[in-house]
Amino acid sequence: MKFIKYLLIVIYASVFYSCGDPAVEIEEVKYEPKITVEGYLYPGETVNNIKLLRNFPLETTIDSLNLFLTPSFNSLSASINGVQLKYNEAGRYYYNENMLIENDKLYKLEVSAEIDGIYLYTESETTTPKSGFQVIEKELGDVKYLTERAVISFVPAPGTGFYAFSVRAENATLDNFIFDNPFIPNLKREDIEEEFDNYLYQLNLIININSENGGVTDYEIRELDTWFYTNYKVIVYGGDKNFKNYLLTVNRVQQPDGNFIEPAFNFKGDGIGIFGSAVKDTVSFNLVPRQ
Amino acid sequence: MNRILVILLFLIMGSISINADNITKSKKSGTTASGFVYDMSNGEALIGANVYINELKYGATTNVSGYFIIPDLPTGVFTFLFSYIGYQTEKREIVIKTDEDNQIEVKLKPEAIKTDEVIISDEYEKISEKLFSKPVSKIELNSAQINNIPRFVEADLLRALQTLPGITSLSDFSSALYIRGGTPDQNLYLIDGTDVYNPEHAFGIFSTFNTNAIKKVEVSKGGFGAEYGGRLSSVLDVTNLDGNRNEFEGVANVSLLSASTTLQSPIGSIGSISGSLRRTYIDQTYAKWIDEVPDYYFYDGNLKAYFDFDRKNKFSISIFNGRDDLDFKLDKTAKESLEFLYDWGNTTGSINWKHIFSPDLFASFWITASRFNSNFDFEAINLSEKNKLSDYAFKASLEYYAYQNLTIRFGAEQKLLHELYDQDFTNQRIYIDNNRQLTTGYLTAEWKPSNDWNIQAGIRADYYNADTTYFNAAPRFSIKYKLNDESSLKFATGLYHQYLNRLPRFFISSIWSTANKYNKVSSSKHFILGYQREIGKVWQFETEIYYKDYKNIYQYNDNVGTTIEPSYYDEANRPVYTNTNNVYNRGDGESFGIEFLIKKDIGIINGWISYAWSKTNYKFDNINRQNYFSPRHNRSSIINAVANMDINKMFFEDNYQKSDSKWELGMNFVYATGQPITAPSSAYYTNTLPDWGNVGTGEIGSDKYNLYPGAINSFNLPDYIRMDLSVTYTKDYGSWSLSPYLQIFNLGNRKNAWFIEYKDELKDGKITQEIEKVNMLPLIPSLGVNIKF
Repeated sequence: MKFIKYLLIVIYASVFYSCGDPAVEIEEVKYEPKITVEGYLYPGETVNNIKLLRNFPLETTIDSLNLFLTPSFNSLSASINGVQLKYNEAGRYYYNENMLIENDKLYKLEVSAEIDGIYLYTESETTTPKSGFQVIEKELGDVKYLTERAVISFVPAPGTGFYAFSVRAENATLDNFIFDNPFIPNLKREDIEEEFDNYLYQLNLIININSENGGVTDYEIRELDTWFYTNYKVIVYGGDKNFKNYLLTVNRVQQPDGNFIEPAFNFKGDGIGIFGSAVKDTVSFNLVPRQ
Repeated sequence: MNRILVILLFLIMGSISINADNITKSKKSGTTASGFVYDMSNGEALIGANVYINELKYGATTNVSGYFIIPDLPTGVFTFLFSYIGYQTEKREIVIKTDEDNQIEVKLKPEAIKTDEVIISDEYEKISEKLFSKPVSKIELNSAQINNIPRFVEADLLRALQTLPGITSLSDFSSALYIRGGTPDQNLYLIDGTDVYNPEHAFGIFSTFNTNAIKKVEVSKGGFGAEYGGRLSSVLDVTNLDGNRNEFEGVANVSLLSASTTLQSPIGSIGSISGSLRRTYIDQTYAKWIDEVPDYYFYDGNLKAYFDFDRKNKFSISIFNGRDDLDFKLDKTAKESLEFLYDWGNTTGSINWKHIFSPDLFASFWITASRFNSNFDFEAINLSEKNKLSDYAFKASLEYYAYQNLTIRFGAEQKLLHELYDQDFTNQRIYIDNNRQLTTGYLTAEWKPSNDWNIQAGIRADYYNADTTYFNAAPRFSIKYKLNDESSLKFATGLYHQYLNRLPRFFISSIWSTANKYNKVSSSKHFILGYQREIGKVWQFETEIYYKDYKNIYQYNDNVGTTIEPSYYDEANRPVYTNTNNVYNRGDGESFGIEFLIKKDIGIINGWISYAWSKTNYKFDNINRQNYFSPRHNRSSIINAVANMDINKMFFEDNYQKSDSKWELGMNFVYATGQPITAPSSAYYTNTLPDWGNVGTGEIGSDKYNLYPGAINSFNLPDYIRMDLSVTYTKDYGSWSLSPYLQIFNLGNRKNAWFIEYKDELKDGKITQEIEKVNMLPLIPSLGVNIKF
């Protein structure tokens, strides 16, 4: 009986030990300040809207106003190909109205700044796409839902195989939301309200298209990208390698198994984000019910 | 390091030739004893049974066919002991006559595994002998031992193996085995000699092995001999039942998830047949009652026919087929809804002929075929995928018992692999269609200079032909020394090569690719030192320390889209990818650790307690800035305790013998250090696309920030702890028995962490963030019944 007593104690202790809801404690995460860059160069336009911010530690309260790096507060210096950038206080971005971006040219961004008393430096290079990108038809007219698809035909810029399609519904409201779609039935208005931006902003990418043969590439806008009966604007970006790497990886840092992986950014030194270049154009269509 | 291994091998070979005197002294007399050891109850050949001659103090072990030979015997009358765990030892006086093959056939009587330790006597196989005869890092389990371990709904071979030291899993949702730091693709899975790829059902939750059809499982965690190859870490060799040679026998099981049956029958006097079938019925039950449960089922079945034509010729045919089928519809009640179809499965077949050319030359020939394929169809996004890996092989393995203390094993294998992956998406296609050939030969010498020593040296040579060719020679060596009657010391080392890489995917089956000019052959060296000891005649104590390195191992490149280049453009001007260039990141690594195991196979309480400490370091191109990191499966400390208890014997000792019913209690306790995870070190604001932005306008939204990871896998989740329990009641009705059971998985309902997510809240223009834990499986009870007839 003594043995049985011991056995019961072991079982009891094992069960007791295997209970509970252990807390995840991520302590002492080593926070490394970084210069966050969001900057795009477009051939034919001047340098504009380059945003330089700082990253911030997790589980802390963030004041969004302190995120922007400024020449005065952060001793910031930013230049492209050695030409100094100016700071727009109101818009909190950097620009240079005298610097016109050309096709097929290498541009190097250099930024130095002081964050939390630490001197940081980063640089990144982008080569702008060659000329030749052309959207064949910019106004596609009415497209009947589920029976037709908007097809964007374009001639790619030679050497640029990466294209991103930003699909945005104009005047999107709950009233013109397509509730009787064949994909997610029985949607309620409150569901849409909660996830409104996820239905409104749609992004699609194609990589490695044949850009050297001078032919026309067709891209179909799928029904999963259109959730409202309204007008749509599709901005087509033909991006450089930095643009491609950023878009392919920036939102995929958490894997399906929950673990985090490194995004593919093209910065030397202490930078993260995007410094890329692109050619772009806009296509419009109007989505109407199928009957 | 390769040079050291080769030198070591030649030193040993040299040592064998220097000691040729020792061999020639016992030069072949032509007097041998050979035969087979069978299970009396069903006629199954017993693998690894011990044959021991008392007067000569030596013996032999049966091979995979139950065959043994003891050459160069003196003439006379000798006492032979035939023993095997779970069976009564047979003692026979046998007259050995001169210059002939003395043929012996023995049938051992099975006995309950719960033999009381007090009746253990010298006539039983000594545990120390059994431990000594076992190769380094090898574990053997039979169907009963697997079924005794408390289970997660279904009895599962791979989950049962996860209770052993050095073998772990990634999560509750996965049955895949991580053995001594190696990944699942580094394990060679064999069913009746046939390679099996992706042996998983239900998105990896269960394995394809039907435990009722299993005769024996041998797991080698490392340091395996030259007869095995093609994988870096381990071998899991499953032998299915040949079938009952004496009478019709069956077992059926019904659980909340599935129904299964295994039937065996003799085929006249020349052979037997066995077959198993299992099918889940989620699609017919839960899926009809609960809208959220998708239409899903899996089935598997195997059939094996065994023909015992005569003493020299045994022939078997074995086939296996398993399939999973999923029809996922986002809203099953709606006429139209987002929907995809996915099915996958394995088909294998083998023909095996075993032939005794002469008493001292035993041969086994196989023709095997194995195919894994999957089909995925997601019409809404115009995505379809076909994935197929076929493996056809011819194998020959021979055992030549040259002298009483020298056995030569040699063989060859010709393997043809066909990989096909075809993914058709709107704007691109991936089409990989390759044939590969692998030609292999091996030679192993096992030398026993005395009863206290056992030395094996071997070499395996591979010629691999793909879009480039590789030739590899892999030396293997092991040595065992009996320190005294109770304990022994073992050492093994070897070089291992692998010609396949696996691209694991979350919840859907992996894709395999073969080595080529972009992905070189992977290799690993093992060094293992072990100590084993019998304690008090019933306990086994084992400890092993190991080190292994990895060269050219491949991990899926998570950012593959940034680097792949098309091979050509098709007629629709879409890019087509036909190779695996840049699909993987190349890396090197190492694993080392120490394991302790205390095991008791008999008695009213039997089971084991183990502790394993290990460390794995990887260094990969493009990951963690090329710094070392721990992979996710690296759990530094793991404690396992498995116990099976005969309740009747414990509480009702007096009436035990008379009772025709019994209660059994099973327990499984696991403690494991939490898995390494990569935690984000910071967050930052950038818009996904330039025209989506609010940054800079003062409207930073809570969902607009991005997370930036810190050092890879530098934090650990909370420790994993789980306790499982099973209660089985067995009622014997003479010709049949009934065993209802209750299984409780995660009895303590501990909320073990699977991974973490970040939740954020925007308030008064400020953001606060919280960690949210995503848990693994909660307490899950399951009921079932086993019927034996």
